[in-house]
Amino acid sequence: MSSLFSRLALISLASVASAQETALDPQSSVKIDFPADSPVTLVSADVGESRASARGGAMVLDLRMGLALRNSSRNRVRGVALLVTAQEVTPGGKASVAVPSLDVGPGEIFPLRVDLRLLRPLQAGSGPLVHVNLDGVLFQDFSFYGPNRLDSRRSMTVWETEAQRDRQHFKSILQAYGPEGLRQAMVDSLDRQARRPRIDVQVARGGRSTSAAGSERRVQFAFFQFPGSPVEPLQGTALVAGNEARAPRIQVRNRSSRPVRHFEIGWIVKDQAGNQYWAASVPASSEEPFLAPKEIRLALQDSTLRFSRNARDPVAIDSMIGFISHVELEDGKIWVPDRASLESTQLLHLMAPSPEEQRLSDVYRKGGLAAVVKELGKF
Amino acid sequence: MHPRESDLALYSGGDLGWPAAWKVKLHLRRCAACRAMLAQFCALRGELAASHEIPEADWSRLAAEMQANIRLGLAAGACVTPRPDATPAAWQNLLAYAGALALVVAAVWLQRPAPPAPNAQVFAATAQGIEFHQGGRVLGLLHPRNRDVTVSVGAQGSVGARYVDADTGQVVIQNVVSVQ
Repeated sequence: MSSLFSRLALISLASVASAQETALDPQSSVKIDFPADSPVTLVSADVGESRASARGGAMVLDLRMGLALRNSSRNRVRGVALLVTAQEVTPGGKASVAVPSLDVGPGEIFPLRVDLRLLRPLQAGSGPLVHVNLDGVLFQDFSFYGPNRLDSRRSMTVWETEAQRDRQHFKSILQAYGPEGLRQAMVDSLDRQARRPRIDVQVARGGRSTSAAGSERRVQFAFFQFPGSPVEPLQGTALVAGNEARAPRIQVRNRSSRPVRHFEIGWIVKDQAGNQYWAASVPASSEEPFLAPKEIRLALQDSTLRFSRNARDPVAIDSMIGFISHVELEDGKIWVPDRASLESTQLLHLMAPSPEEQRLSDVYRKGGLAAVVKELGKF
Repeated sequence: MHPRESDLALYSGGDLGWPAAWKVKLHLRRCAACRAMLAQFCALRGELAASHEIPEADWSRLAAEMQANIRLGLAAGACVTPRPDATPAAWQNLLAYAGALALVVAAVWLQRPAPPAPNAQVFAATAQGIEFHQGGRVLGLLHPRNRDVTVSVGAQGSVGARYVDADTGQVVIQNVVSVQ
């Protein structure tokens, strides 16, 4: 009898759920807009699996877009970044989906998925909820096309610079130690990725996220110094209370003879048990874009970072380490730390691998050594 | 006259004040029923101490606070309950439990994470993807489940996720950022 009631209840729930969930009309929900002179053009867009469902007083929209894009230029494409906005839902935030480490020749078609979720009140205005625009395309020769609203040019140039560094690293291993040496390097990379200590970090702007304000203390950063870096961190602090850190302030000096357009500082935190985690990056404030040669300036952010493990157990912060993770010079050239510097400071074991190392190790995992050798041969 | 159950409970843990404890001790010498009840309280304390399911906490502090609250509850009960009534102990116990419950509720309330300010922008990673929250509205990018996803955070207000797409072999980098 109770089984019959359970079945009836399940059927009722299922019918209610199906009544509340509806397929989204692609025309009214999403607007995909690429510039007329874009070197990457939209071939097709499939939003067939997108759904809208009501939850209490809110509407949840799951947009699943499969795009097919064509390289309409005469240059090989190395990366593409799309800008996703939902101005009506979240005017304070934007999203981007980027694909680096591409090798798409002229006329070739390549896929790109954009899966997003929006939560908004039930009442809403008319017009497309989501706008998808091209933010940038990076080519093999580091030339760039696009409105660059989310600094995609810099991000993709950093990723491609790291990709060149790491491809060169693996090629030199192959040359010096043969296929077995490369195999060992791939196994080591996968092992590092699996063992890398991880921490959950939540960022809040415009207000503290917990009530632990009473025990706040100012903690000094220690720094890793890289000999070749154009920017040198001098000193820095952040306010720490339990598992929260806020308002990082780091003084840096441009020790090169060229103006620096942008730099970013990596942030490692150590918990009270001595475990170290790659926590966040601290980009320079964009208010004053150039750091003149020999100039000393403060990089600061007013956000609050909250650290936890398994999304719930607070991780109390004991100490912090900073390092320069990349520098963009006036002419757009990018500096990134070399592999030897990352290895000697153990950062290789704390930081995520570059997108290219992640891709190559995945190629090795799926296709074996021959597939990696073939992939390295393409570049 | 038998001591109250609450006094026996406090006595079992050594928490009764010395004049009352001396009276209870004298009574216990000649009362088998109260000795039996005391033995039950002692056994219960032993079971609690042996339990592995008790969450970690500052038990000394909590015990002191609860003891103070129980005393307050008993005192309050004594004030509002006429002495000659038939069941004063039941009211006192109820008040004591209510006091202890109020203490627990107050502790949970004080330790709660404060909600972000209404206009605060919060960036977080979940099992399904990365999200931007503001004023009850959410913009999130989803990534495939069961994939090895690398999450990164920017102190300027951003969260990113990176994974290798199983179908295409492409590295996909998602970001949600604050509009400055």
